[in-house]
Amino acid sequence: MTLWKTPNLFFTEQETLYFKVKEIARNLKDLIEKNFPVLWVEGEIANLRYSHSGHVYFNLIDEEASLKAIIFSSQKDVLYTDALKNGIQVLCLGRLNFYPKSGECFFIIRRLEPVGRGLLILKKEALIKKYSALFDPNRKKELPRFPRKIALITSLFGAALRDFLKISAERWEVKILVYPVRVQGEGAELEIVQAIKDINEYFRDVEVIVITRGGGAFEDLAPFYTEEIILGIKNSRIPVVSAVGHEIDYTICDLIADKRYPTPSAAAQEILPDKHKILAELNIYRKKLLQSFEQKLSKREKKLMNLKLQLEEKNPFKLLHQIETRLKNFIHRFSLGFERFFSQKEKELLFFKENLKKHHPLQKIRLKEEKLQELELRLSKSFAGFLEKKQRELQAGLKLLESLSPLKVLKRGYSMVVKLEDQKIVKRASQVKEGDLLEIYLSEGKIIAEVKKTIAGD
Amino acid sequence: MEKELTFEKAFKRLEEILKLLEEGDPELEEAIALYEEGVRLIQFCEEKLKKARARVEVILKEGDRFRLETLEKAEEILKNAGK
Repeated sequence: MTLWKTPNLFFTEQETLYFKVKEIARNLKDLIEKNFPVLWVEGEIANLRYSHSGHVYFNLIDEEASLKAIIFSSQKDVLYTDALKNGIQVLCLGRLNFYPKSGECFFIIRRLEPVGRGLLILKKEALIKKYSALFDPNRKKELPRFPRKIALITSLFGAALRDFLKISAERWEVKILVYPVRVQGEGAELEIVQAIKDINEYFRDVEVIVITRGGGAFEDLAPFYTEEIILGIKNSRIPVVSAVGHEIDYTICDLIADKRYPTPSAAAQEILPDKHKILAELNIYRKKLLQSFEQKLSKREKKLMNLKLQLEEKNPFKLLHQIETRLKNFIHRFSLGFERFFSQKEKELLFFKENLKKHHPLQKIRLKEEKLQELELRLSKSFAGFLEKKQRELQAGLKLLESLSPLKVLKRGYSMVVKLEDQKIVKRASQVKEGDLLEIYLSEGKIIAEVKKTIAGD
Repeated sequence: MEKELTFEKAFKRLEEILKLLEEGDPELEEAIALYEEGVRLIQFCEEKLKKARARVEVILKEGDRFRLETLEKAEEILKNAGK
């Protein structure tokens, strides 16, 4: 309508209603680019796509309208390029560009800030990506089992502190240092980081640092989604516990901390041991101690008893006694056997004796003696007869012998010649030869002669 | 040694003693000594626990210096300071 009401303007300047495309395009370009130099636009991301050349295209939309937007790959200042998502609310700084060739108007983005919940989600993802190495579970420090001194970084007036102290009051012997900070609003993260630094530096005996605050709106949690928080916690020598925000949504602070609990109360319960539980545990330990000690004792006792038994078995007196008993036994058995043997033999002897008595030879002897005497008598009688007879025979023999004796012949003047060499009687001259020695027996004495000459007879 | 004994040290030693008695094979004299030490440690830990409570102090930073205050006093100071 406006155009028709001001026709004069066009007529006077251009003098025509007829335009070429490029002319109207140039006009539009001027109109758009000069009227909107640099501007902030808030909207939701839709139809997001990444081109091969690295440019990012999406539509910025709200309930009624849509605007085409580009982030050029050369635009390195835009932080969250890689983490953009459809449906996220963003606030973009840039300028409008009209492209005559396509006849399209693009919003060229130079800066982009997520807003609201989207802001936190985007920030979280971008930061996790950037510092992924720091979120490694292996980097997490162990919490002490029995902490003596802990520090709370929180608001002095928040419910978080009250909740934490309520749980810890009678729970454990512990010193709690509270380092008051703002837990929301611009720059709160810097206060928190400074607190971490101060505690590390000036309160070196603190064993656990707890960063805590109660739940709140997403905007309130913004300080816990910052790069500063990541680096501050990373640099802490003391283990850091985070109990920030919501049960379901983990803040960056939760993720980088060495331990995370959903609420301040839960943190107090987990960090500080319950003395009643430990007392109960001590009671169990007392029982176990006694039990295992008694076990050791009874084990030793058993061993001792065993040794005693073993020793008893090897007792030399006992051994001696055993040997003695055996010996006695043996002697007893031996003497018993001996006695038995003797009595047996005695019995046998007695039996023999009786038997012998029954067969006593005296009777026989007498009989034999009588016979012997008789035989003796007969023998002596017959022997005397025999002797007499033989004597008579001998006398007769002697007389005969005397009559035949060569000596008797010799007495009558004969002599007997014997060869000296062989004592053979020489009966013929041929028995000897010249030179032989002869023995000549005479009636009295003998002569040794030598043969001078032999003369054979006829 | 006794003077520096902390709850944690006592508890750790107690667990060590239990392990020695339950799994190890100590000499009788050692077992007796361990048992007695264990009983003493349990008493020590119990004494400590019976009195156990949390003591709270607030760190107040003044320039580069730090001051510790009770919770009540710190609240008052910070309220007045408008924090």
